[in-house]
This record gives sequence, C-alpha cells and structure tokens, in this order.
Amino acid sequence: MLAALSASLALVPWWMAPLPFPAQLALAWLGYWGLHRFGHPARFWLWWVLGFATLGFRWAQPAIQADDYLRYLFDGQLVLQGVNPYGLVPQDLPLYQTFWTPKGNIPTIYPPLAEGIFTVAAWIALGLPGLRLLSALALMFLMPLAFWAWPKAKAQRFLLLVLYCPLVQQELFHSAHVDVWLLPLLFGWYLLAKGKRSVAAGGVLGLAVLLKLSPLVLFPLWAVGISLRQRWWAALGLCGVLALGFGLFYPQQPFSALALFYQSIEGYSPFYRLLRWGLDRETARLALASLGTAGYLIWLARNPQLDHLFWVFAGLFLFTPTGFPWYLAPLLLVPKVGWPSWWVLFCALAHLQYYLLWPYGWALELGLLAFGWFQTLYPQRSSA
Amino acid sequence: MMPLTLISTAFAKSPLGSAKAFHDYQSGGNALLEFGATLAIGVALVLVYYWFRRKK
Repeated sequence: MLAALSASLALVPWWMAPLPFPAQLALAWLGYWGLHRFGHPARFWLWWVLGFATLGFRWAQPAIQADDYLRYLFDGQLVLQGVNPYGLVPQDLPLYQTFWTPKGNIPTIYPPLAEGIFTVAAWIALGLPGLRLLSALALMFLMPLAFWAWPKAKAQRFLLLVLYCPLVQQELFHSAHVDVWLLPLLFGWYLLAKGKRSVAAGGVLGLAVLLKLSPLVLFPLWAVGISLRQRWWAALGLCGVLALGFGLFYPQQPFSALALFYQSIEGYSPFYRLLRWGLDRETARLALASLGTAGYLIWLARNPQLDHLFWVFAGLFLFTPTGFPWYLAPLLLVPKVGWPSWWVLFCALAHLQYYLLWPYGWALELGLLAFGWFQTLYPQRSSA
Repeated sequence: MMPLTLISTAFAKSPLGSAKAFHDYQSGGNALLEFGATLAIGVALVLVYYWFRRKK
C-alpha cells in the first residue's frame, strides 16, 4: 500500500514538488504559534494526528535542502549486499555510476547503529519516503517515554511542541536526518540516568553514540555528578554497547573518515562564520574548537546538573566548524516546565539559516551572529 | 580584521601551522595533531581563565 501511495505521489510533476513546502511550513508555524499562544490544547490526540498529517503532506516530496539521505541509502545498499561501508570509497564502486552520493570521496562517516537504520531503509526500498517513515517512527517513540516520565499534561505539551517544531519537521523529517533517533535515545538515557540506573543508562547512551558520535561528550559531564561505583557501572554499559556495535564492522571503523569530514566541511556555526571573516580555515577551526574545549572543561569542573546537560549540543553547534542546525534538536529535550522556552523557539528558527543562504548571503552572516549571541546570552540571563 | 589577520599569519608561521603533516588531511597523523593542539590550547585557555579569576 505504501509503495502504491509512493508511486501515485511520484506522478506529481517535478515543478510542483516544492509547492506544498511553504504550505506545510506555514501549517507547522500555525500549530506552533497556537501552542505558544494558547498553551495545552484540549484535544491532544486530534493535534497529534494532525501533526503527523502535516508530515504526511510532504511524505513523498523531494528533499529541497539536503542530500545526506542519498548517502544513507547508498550505505544501506552496501550493507544489504554484505559490503562493509567503512572499508571503501563510493567513487571506486560500480554502484556509484548509477547512484550518486555526497562525500563520495571518503568512506562513510556514520556509526554502526546509523548504518543499521540505513539498511532498514534500503530494505524497505521506498527511498527517501522510507527514511521519512523511519523518522516518523522515531518521533512516535517519544510518546511512551513522555507519558511514562511526566504527568499527562506536561507530556502532551512536550510531544506537540516537538512534533510541531519546524526544525523537527524540516530537518529531521523532510530532510530525514538520522539525528531524529537521538531524541528517543537521549530521552531514554536521561530518564534512566535520573533513576540512577547506571548500567542501562550507559548502554542507552552507547546506542546514541553508535548513532552519532557527538553524544559521547555527555558522558564526562554526566559521570562527574554520580558516585564512583555508579560511574564504573555506567562506563561498563557504555563501553559494552560500543564494543558490540563497532565490533560488528571490525577492523574497519568510521573515525578516520570522520576526521577528514571535520577538517573539510564548513558548516553554519555563527562563531565559525565570524572567525572566517579574518582567519583561514585551519586557524579558525583550531581557535573555535579550542575555545569550545576550554568552555567544556570549565563546565565539567563545575559539576553540572543532569537537567542541564543537553546544553552541550548548543556548544557542538556553536563551537565546531561542522555545526549544522539539526545538531540543535536534542535541545528540545531540555527538561523544564513551562515550554515553550526561548531555546525551543531558537531551535525552531535555526534551520531558517538555509533560506537566507542562497539569495541573501549577507543576511545569513548577520542572522548567524544574532543567533549566536542570542543563544549564548540567554542561559546567562535566565540563570541570573 | 587586522588582529585576526595577525593571528592567522602568526599561526601559519608557528611550528604547528607550518608543519606539513598538519595540512595533509588524508593522513591520520594530521587528525591526531589537530586533536592534540585543540586540547592543549583548550587547557591553556582554562588555565588563563582560572588565573584571571583567582582570589587576590
């Protein structure tokens, strides 16, 4: 049935494909504004279903701003064929002649669990719509977690704010970035860590790291706030899951390709853009990452609370040259009563950088600076 | 832009910035060099931070 639906939607002329995009975005913003203005809606299920309907509206449309999904599907095809994606370069493969993929000159940078999701997507054989189905599934996993963790009203409010967040709708669903799976995984980690279930929390954090390496930065921040005994158990859970995941592809691994990616990609970090006005790429990268490292170490020494740890993802966005808007998605999990907060709005707005990029390059720079300062200053104000 | 340009020039002439391995992205040594340099400068910045915040 899904295949038939996909095929029928594919009949839409290509020039009409972007048309639903502004309508969908407007709908998302309307829903988001409604939540912001009127608060908790009386009919949660109606809004929940409507939220997924807005996603479904663009389910089979081409991706407008992203091509990462092509690499996802390429990798999935390789794994389905029994090929280790870490051991080769796409450009050297016959498949590349018929299936173009971005970053075709380096082996894949995605960790093993991400490769597993790509394999499922390739197996479904629906292409980008298949990846989007998996993204919707990841968002649905948030529902049992939220209802289990929080009172009904708070859980409902959180779920709708995530679902209607334009960053989620655009980057995690429409562009199908695999980061969407960080939301249920990191939410699960947070709940387990809060409940002092160290081994399980370490294991779930390990799964998140197997999806994307960046959540590894959470571990030291979390570990300094728990007892020595819990720390060992947490490390055991984390290392066990990581060994299992990376062991599946041994002896190949994604680290060297990731280093190459880190050194060759220029993302959207506002601070990086600022430094690039006067510095060459290497100096800017080193200066920014050193500042980020210093901030991280100082934060670490202050023994941060578990509830604040998701802020580290703002740091990853701001202080790495590879910062992309969807790196901010885990910020939506910052557990604080009284959503929507400024950071939710910021996350919702962050992906608008893309729209400014092409026609208004100068506005992009100003916008990025404003975003950067806003995001940096807000936590200080709120804690003052 | 002058201060930034000065920093950039100074870095290019430093032992790290002028090291061939540092600019060779395809080598694993390059990534290790960059990681080490980032960490070292980061720690140095932390020390500077605490030095400025020390109780006088």
